[in-house]
Amino acid sequence: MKFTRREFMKAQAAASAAAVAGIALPATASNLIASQDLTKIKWEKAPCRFCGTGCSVLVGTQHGRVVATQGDPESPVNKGLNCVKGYFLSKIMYGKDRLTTPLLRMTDGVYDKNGEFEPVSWDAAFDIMADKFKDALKKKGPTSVGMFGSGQWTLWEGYAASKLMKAGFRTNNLDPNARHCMASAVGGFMRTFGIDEPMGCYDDLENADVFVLWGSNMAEMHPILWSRLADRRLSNPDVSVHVLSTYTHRSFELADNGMIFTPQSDLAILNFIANYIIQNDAVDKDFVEKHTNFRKGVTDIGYGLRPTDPLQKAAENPDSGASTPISFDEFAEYVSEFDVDYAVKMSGVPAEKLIELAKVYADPAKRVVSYWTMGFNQHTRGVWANNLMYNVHLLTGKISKPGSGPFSLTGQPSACGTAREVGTFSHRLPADLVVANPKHRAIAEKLWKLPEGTIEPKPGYHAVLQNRMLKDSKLNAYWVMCNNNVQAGANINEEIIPGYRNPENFIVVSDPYPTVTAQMGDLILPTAMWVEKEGAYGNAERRTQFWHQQVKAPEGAKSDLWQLVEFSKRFKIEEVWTEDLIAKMPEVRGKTLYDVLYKNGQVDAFGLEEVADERLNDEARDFGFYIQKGLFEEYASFGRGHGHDLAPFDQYHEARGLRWPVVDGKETLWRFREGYDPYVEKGSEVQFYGHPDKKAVIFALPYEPPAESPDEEYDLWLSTGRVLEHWHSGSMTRRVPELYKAFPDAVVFMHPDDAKARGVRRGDEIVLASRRGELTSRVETRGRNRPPRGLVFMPWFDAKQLVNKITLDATDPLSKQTDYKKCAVKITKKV
Amino acid sequence: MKTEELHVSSLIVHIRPEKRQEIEKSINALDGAELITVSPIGKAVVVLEAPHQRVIMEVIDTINALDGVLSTGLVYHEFEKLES
Repeated sequence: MKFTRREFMKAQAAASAAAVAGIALPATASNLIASQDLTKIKWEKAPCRFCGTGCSVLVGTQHGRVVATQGDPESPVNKGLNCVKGYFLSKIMYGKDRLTTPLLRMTDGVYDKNGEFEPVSWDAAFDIMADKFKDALKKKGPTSVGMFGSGQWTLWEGYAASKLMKAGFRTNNLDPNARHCMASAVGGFMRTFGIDEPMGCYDDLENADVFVLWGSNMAEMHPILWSRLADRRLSNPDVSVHVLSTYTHRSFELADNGMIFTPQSDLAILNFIANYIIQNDAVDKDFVEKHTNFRKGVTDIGYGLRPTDPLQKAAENPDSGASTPISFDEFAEYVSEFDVDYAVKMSGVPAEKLIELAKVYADPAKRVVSYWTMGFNQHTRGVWANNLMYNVHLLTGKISKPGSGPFSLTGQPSACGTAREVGTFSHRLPADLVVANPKHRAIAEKLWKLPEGTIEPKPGYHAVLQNRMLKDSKLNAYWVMCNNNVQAGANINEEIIPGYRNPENFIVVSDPYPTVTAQMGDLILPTAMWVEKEGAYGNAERRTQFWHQQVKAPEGAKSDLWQLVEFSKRFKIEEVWTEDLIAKMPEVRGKTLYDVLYKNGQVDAFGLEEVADERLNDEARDFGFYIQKGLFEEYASFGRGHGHDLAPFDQYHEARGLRWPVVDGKETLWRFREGYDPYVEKGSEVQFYGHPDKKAVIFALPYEPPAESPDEEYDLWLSTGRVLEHWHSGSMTRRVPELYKAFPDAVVFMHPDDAKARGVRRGDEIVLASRRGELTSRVETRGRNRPPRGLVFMPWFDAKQLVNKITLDATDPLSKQTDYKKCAVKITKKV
Repeated sequence: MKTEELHVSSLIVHIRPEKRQEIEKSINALDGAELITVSPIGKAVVVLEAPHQRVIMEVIDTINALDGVLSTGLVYHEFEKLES
């Protein structure tokens, strides 16, 4: 039999899909598969560059370029599937405007804040940058320098940055963009469990009887997990899906119980469920007795605004996370006022739907997983929302076992790995250690071989505070790396741009592309990305994944790791440390930060002989040692033996990722449960060992209103978020022509009646305005997102329509994460 | 001599089983799309062919928007330069 090339390719495609789907093809189709074609493409694994799901893709390279990607059939996460963003990964590195030379604002050949960008050498770029950092350190000390990093950094980039800032410059002004997406989740985990990150894993998707999506639009934001969920639902008619959101979206297509609730009323619904569980005698008393404590949190905690803001002044306990112990009975009394009538009144969800939802949590026979992402986290009571979610699972004992548990999804590929585990937050150190704790600082100083007292005890400026301090001229030398914060931060006009353009500040931006942020800076450093370097990410289910460098970066572009470590060579210890500190370790005198931080006998412990000759690894060859391995092994020493164990470096290059803690070569699927987690003592069944008493905390916390709600003038809620085709600010996906064309410009999704009431129709140009700014966009009344009356939704990927000019920089006072889901706006027809 | 491309991809499409007939008809009506098979629970294998990757993206978008389609995952993609 002879086939045309076209028929052969189609047969191959069909066979692959059928294999992944686990279904048999009709004989006619499968017969077409004649022989295996040998392609000239070289395939190697790498985790996807985008969201926190952590899909593994096979990257196809040919003639030094990435030409194709496909879902990795060996990956336990995506099992051979790809979403559209993953499908077009091969193109993210080849945008026409890729940067290949440092650019400095200059006039007549010298740096000028008001000059135009002109190309300079890397040497010249680091010269001026080092001058500016030294100048700031000399004039105002360590608190005047800082860095804004990323949940997209590789593990070793985040770790190298943390050392450079916290130990080298002795400033804690380091925060990742993950502050915008994960901080409330971290706060929730630490407060309830005393240890960060989910206890469950994606295997819950094949084991649960009930899925509850709290705000999450998994169908668009985590499509691969959604396909696993859909698979489970379709193959088991008894499985049910509950979807809660402030507007209708694609995930409602699969919902058995879809609920549209008023913004912020999730707090009321969660308390109602806790009350329902107690009222209907569905508490797992044995579990609650053995494994939990009850506490009541303080209330009226403010909105994370500037202390001068009237809202902040009015708060009784601004920024307080304090709590006092209470009994189960007191807790039951506390939540008793959250009955179904109250929940209906607050949320607008019909009573029967709320009861149906409460019932599945209360039914001891049903395994329930709850998923959430930005809806709970980007919330002025985000930590509370996380705490209240845990209450529901703890009261019923539905936690830490297959198919049952609360699961906080992540938005960035290494928000868990780099931001949380490495601890690149302004208050953190690796493995859940914090700068404020003297014992934790001592551990870090010892492992880093630094004198006692190197690390400053006071937490540094967090993301939102960094912008405020830039504006207020307190933070003067600032490095933005691997993020696009001028587009991503809230209240751009009032709180971000003024700081970047403040004549007293010098702003460095490292990026592969001329993003909005890069263009707002003073020096732009061209950056290598993804498989142009060796890397490691940690996904939402605690899975650490590695990849090798597979292509060279464009000539002139350098990885974040190279930039951080190379820059450290510009600083003599005497220029950054005090004489008192140097006196405690006189042998560092005369050395550079590079010598002290990276050539410390640990980071440089592995030689080039461990890098195979045929392997690309630009950083290792530049520095003369296997720097990624050295950084990883030093970093891993923080967590080994302390519940955060990582496997040896080399094992990750072989595996499709491993979920920590990895003890004796074995990963952990469900933490805190005997039989799954090696840290749980025999005979104890469950131990929430993050707290000294090995118990989790159930918190009594109320409903409190959002920072801003619609009123007569600004009469609509604005919620912002993503769409399937674009990832975050679009700096990569908007450069993929196919994705750009699929969703070229942001639109404002609104209810047709709301449009009509304002005299606008689908496609009309409108002005969207808040108290902070306005923008021009177009109305969309159909399509994938269908808001109820009174709310509009706008995605934030579009650099031409900066929705964050409109949003409010109110944050959760505990997590310091911004609420991007709620502010008041008005819409008028553009004239 | 002009170089043209042939792109071939396959998808797994989760559908509401009760909407199978309408969805099958709609997909097969799309240029270059062929629904190869659907499992009883609603997992369909679809193969797409097109002269450009962008066309494939458009077809995926159209499939995604069909009533009863729950999710679309991409499995395989290959392209060849055809000389004509």
